[in-house]
Amino acid sequence: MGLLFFYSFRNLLARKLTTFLTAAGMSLVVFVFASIVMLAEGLEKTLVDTGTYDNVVVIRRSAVSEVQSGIERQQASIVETSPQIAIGNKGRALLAKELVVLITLEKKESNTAANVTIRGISENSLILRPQVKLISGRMPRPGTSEIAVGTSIVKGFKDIGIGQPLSFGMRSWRVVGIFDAGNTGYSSEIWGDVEQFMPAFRRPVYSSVLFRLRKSSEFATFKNNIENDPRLTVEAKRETQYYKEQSEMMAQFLRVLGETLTLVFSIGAIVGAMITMYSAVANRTGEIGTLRALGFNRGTILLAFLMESLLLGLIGGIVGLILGSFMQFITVSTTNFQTFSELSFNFTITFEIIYKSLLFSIIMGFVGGILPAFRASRMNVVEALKEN
Amino acid sequence: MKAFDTGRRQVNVLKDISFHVEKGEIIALKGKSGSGKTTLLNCCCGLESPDSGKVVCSGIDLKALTAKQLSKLLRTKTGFVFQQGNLLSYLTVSENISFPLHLNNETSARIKLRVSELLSIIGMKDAQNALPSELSGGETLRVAVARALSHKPEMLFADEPTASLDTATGKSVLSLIRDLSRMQKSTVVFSTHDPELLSMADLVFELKDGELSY
Repeated sequence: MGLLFFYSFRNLLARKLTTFLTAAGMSLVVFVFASIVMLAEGLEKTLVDTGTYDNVVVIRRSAVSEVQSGIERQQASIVETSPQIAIGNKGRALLAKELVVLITLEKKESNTAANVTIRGISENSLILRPQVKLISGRMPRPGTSEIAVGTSIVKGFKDIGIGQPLSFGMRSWRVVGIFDAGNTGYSSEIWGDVEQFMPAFRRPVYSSVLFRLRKSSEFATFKNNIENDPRLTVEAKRETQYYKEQSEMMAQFLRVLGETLTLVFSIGAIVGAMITMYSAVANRTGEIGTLRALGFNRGTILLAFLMESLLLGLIGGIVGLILGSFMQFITVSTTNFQTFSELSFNFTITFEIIYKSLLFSIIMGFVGGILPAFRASRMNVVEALKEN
Repeated sequence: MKAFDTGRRQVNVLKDISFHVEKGEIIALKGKSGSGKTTLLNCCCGLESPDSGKVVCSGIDLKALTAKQLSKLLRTKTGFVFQQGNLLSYLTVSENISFPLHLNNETSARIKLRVSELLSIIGMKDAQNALPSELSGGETLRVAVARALSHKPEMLFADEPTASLDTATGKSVLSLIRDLSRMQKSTVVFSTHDPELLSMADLVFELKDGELSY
């Protein structure tokens, strides 16, 4: 096996230009494949990381997201009395009743309007989201027209910074703080006092109730209680599950897009590899005869040419992945179809993407190489020797 | 017997040929171009199969072997020197010589020792890292001989190994074949149409119109 690997590798080195061109074709396909899967992964990770496992989101039954949800004050108060809710520092339930609405703001780069999530927060909103860190200024005070903005909003939208006014909900608001929530969806939000946002947007109901469980294991009990309470028309989800569902549709769309594009491109790359390998077989007919005379059997010849093709695929895969890994430095901002809000996220590479990309590149090498390798192995040794 | 169908007619290249070679003997096959020397050599080493009759090497009937067994016989018991050397162009001189040893799963230490020994014998220690494209015709053939004998085969077949060389160089290559094969008691069958080289053989067979004469 070592000899075969050595032989195949040296052959590829001997044909630098064709090796480079074929591997480059394969690497581009792997790059496209890896990039789109990384995009879907980044989206999913951003939304899943947005949630905390022990937090529970309560929204209106059948509502897909907070934007579509509505929970009356009275219903929110009933939820608030549940014994499964953790108690905060001041002896009050660790719970936040929130409002989520969308507004449009002008983007910096494209000058086009994009949806931005406005979250009306209450006293415990920040405590319930430890991933949110205030990096500049302060949080908005209750009862004022103050707002805090996420870092992605500052980066992506025009005229947003501390002290600057922002008009929406028929009022003028002043930015008093900037918060960073890392690679989570909160970085793409604007926060202000829920009791100020509700009249401004003429929304008499909350969108959601978020709380921390007293014990993680009590989720099922809580869910069962509130979903069977005749006074309530709500459903409860762990926050992680809620955000995972938010990303499902778009992540699925990206994956299908990626797989379709990759399939089309891979046909080209496979044909390229096949042409390279067929020409390698044609150019090395005499050598194949020599190898057979030296004691290579048909199977070894097949393996040798197949290994060459697999190596081509592997080189293409590694280069494509290296190129793809640079995409991690790029932040993408797009509208999440499910929430209709703007969301910033990074391309994310995972071990699964690495092994799937490499496996895919090896499969391309295999499909491109198997027929030429088979042809090489079936050559008549004496006829092949005459080619010398 | 061995015949080829050219499309319009059948050509009987080898007819009723029978001969016996003792271990360690050096046999020369002479004959004009197209007389069937290459076909006979190919039949002797198993690269081609006779239409009728059998070839027995070291007590093994080649026709009875499977493709896998034949490949094993080729890599363990036989060596082949081609007219142009047929070195693997992307491997260095050392790597070409060691190729059959790797094929026979020899240990690295033994391979190193054997390659070094052969490089000294063929006088090409300085060129061990050279590629075949950097060698002269004579050097190429010397490396090809070293490769063919590296795994100490029982039989060595050489198909007009001197055809592309001048007489002096051809003689030196054949001397090398003779000396090396004597050293390791290998049987040699080589073909040539150069009368000057026939003296190096213990026995000379002539192929004429598909028949063998002694």
